[in-house]
Amino acid sequence: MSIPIFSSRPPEQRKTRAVGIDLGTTNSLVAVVAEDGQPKILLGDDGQALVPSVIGFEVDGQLDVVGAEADDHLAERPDRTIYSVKRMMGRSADEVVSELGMLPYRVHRDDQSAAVRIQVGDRRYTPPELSAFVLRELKHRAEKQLGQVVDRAVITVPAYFNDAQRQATKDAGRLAGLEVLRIVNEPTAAALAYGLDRRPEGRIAVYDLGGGTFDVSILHMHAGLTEVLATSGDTHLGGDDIDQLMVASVADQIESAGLQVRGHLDRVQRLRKAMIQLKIALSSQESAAVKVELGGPLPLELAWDRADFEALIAPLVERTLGPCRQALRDAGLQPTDLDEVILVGGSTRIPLVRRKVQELFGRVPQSGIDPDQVVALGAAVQADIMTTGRRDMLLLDVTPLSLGIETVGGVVTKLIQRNSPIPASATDEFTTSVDNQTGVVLHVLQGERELVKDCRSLARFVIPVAPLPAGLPRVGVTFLIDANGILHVTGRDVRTGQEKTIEVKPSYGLCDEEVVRMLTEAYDHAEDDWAARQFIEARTEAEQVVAATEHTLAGPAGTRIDDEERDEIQSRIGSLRAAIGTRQIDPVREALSRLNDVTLHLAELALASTLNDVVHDAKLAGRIENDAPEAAERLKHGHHRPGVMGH
Amino acid sequence: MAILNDSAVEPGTPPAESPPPFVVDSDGKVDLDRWSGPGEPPPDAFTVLGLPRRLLLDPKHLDLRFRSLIRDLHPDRFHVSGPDAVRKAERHSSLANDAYRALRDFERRVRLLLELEGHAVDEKFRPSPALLGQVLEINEALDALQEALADGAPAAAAAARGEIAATGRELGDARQALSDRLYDAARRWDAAQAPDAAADLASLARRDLRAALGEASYLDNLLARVQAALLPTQAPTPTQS
Repeated sequence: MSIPIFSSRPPEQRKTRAVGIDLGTTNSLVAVVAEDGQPKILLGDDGQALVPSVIGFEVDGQLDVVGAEADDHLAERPDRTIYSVKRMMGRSADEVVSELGMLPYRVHRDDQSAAVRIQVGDRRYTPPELSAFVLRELKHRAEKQLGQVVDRAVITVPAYFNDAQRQATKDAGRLAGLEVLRIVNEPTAAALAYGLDRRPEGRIAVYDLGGGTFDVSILHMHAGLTEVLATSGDTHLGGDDIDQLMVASVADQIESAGLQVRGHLDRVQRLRKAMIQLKIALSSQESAAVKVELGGPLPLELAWDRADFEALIAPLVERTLGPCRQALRDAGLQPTDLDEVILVGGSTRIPLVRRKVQELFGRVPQSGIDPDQVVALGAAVQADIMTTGRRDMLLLDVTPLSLGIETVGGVVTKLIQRNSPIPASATDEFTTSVDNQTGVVLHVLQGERELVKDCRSLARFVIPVAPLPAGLPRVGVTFLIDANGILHVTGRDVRTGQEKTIEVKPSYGLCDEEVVRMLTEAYDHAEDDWAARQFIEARTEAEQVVAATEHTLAGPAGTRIDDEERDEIQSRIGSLRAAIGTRQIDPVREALSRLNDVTLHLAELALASTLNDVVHDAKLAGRIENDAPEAAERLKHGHHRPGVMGH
Repeated sequence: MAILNDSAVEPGTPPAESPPPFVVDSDGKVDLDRWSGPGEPPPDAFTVLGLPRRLLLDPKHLDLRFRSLIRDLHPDRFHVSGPDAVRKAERHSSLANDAYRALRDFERRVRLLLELEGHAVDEKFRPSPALLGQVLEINEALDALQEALADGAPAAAAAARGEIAATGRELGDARQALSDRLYDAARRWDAAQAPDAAADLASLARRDLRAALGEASYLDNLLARVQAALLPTQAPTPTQS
């Protein structure tokens, strides 16, 4: 039974929404807090929660697809399918080079800034631009699901991310057309999600082993306040490393049997996918086998026992335990002081990981919320806290790394210690060492080591001073780490009280001008514009309504209305068509609504005549009364219209 | 660093004369224009949290003060009020965070208070002959360890580590005794703040505090070296890769 439905969806709420985004190394997710106050993951058309953080390009370097579809092409298009971008965010090309072994796409070093550029076809992309493609995909997914503009987001990062990596993530958000409300640490976000229903009180440890990074945080939760006591981690340890280890181990075997794998990008990718399958299977089975087609005479069958797997990855898992002990030490706690241990990240499904965590902390770890989804859910909660003000919850995080400046002899003088609650600030005064010096150069570093060469350079900048004899100028500088863990520097001439503008140019990141330029370029792509997509959706809906109305007018219901009504409907169809021609969304909505006003009667007639056929079947009549009282009521209503129903 | 048991301090009632926190005005409202940032010296930690200048603070009271203040000041609370309010909230909440961190740790609190009173601790500590003897022993053992590691002589390395550990334990005990001395001096200093207390009691307590703190830094540096030598496979601090 088909019932023509003319009416459009309820009028859209115009207010925009804020979402939570887990921008992962392997997969990304978007979540929102629903009307009932509960966070939920927004699914794609395919019903999947995870969007693979994979970006596919055309041969010429233009964007093709993002997510699952791009992931499917990994083996056929290894040189233009980009993954694991997160590992390059805010890092220098030299740092990334160490991982190049198995990456099938081309990574360049920008001559000027030493930053990473990824070359696809003729185009070179920065890591924030690539991440922005993934973020935009998530934004579109959310807008489609919610039917609303999504323009603000809380984005999560590994707790152990440094300033440059956080800034790069924020830049990616801006490039994707999102106002980044807050950069939140992943383990902290997970704790927020756990804190929502059960409100755990006391001290908890969050062990987060994701695709590319490892984090551990010790938190104290009480009465809605989530206070991070200490955090530690390794930004280069995760599921990716497990995959690489497995691929390397199998590649050795295959190559010794005479089939070259390394250097054949497609073979490496096929092998990588097979190993991921195997890895996942071995989390629930004692042994598993996988077939992989590498272009040899026969498909290879690879069979692994869990024991082989565990022996291979044990050193990696062991590497996570050092940061756990460090975090406990920094928090001044013993494992027995903890009330709970929470597991986050897909890699915590590996039984060996669970065993090691249990051994270290001396208690069975919890994973009540899906470890893949918990971070995005928590990010949505934080977005809700910041935009609605309806929750008495507050997140108090810490900076993972100490902040310092270079002093005489290449030594780092610490200004803000690691694990300081943020926002944190430090004030210092500087002067000149040479007469008539016009500026003081400051070199800001992040890290725990004593020497400049062992720490991460964040920025170098010049504080302008008046030319005076050495030692006379006095400049007060305030370093402020904001709630996102990002550094801001302000200066003031202590003698004159004059505020100094200090431009901090991040060492490997994008400067503000670059972000603005990229933003301008992004908006040149009209198909990306929300308004354009909204119009396309409205036009599609309008066209469907016109087609349905014309179809009904031509059918039996059409014969039961008078000419005046028919003319009115047709005139309004004409207006709607004209409105579509304007390519403006508001006239289309307006004309559609005006058409719907005059087709109600026609729709009722069509519904009535359809239902009438059914009602004639006596057995069904009762069922309609019971199951669909509304439809039955409308049916009666139709009967009572004088001169309409001819039966 | 030695772990001091702050909770051993008897939980006292909050001092009656507690002033309101710095950013709270006389009506009990938060005022985000109290501190203008760089150039203007930030208020001290006691002023920020509204606590009297005492060395033995009830940690529970300190926690409560901080939590209630940060709930009002955190920039997340001001997101709806616009970027200007967020910037001011960042500035003021950083004051609260920094003050909390400075006061939470007993020895840091002592250092800070002495500095505020114009008696900063100079780190020129003169070790006693007995302590110097221990330092020499440790240095010799550290050299022996390095040599043994370079020569690939595990037995010699283990012997050297044994010596380092033994002297390290003695130093650890000395450090604990120092903590007790610090607490005792802190109690006397606090008591000397009473209006009717004799003036020389405060200066006596201050002298003891400064001496104990100087020795504590010296011992902490030594103990850090001992610890690093005993945990050769484990980096003492996380390093960035």
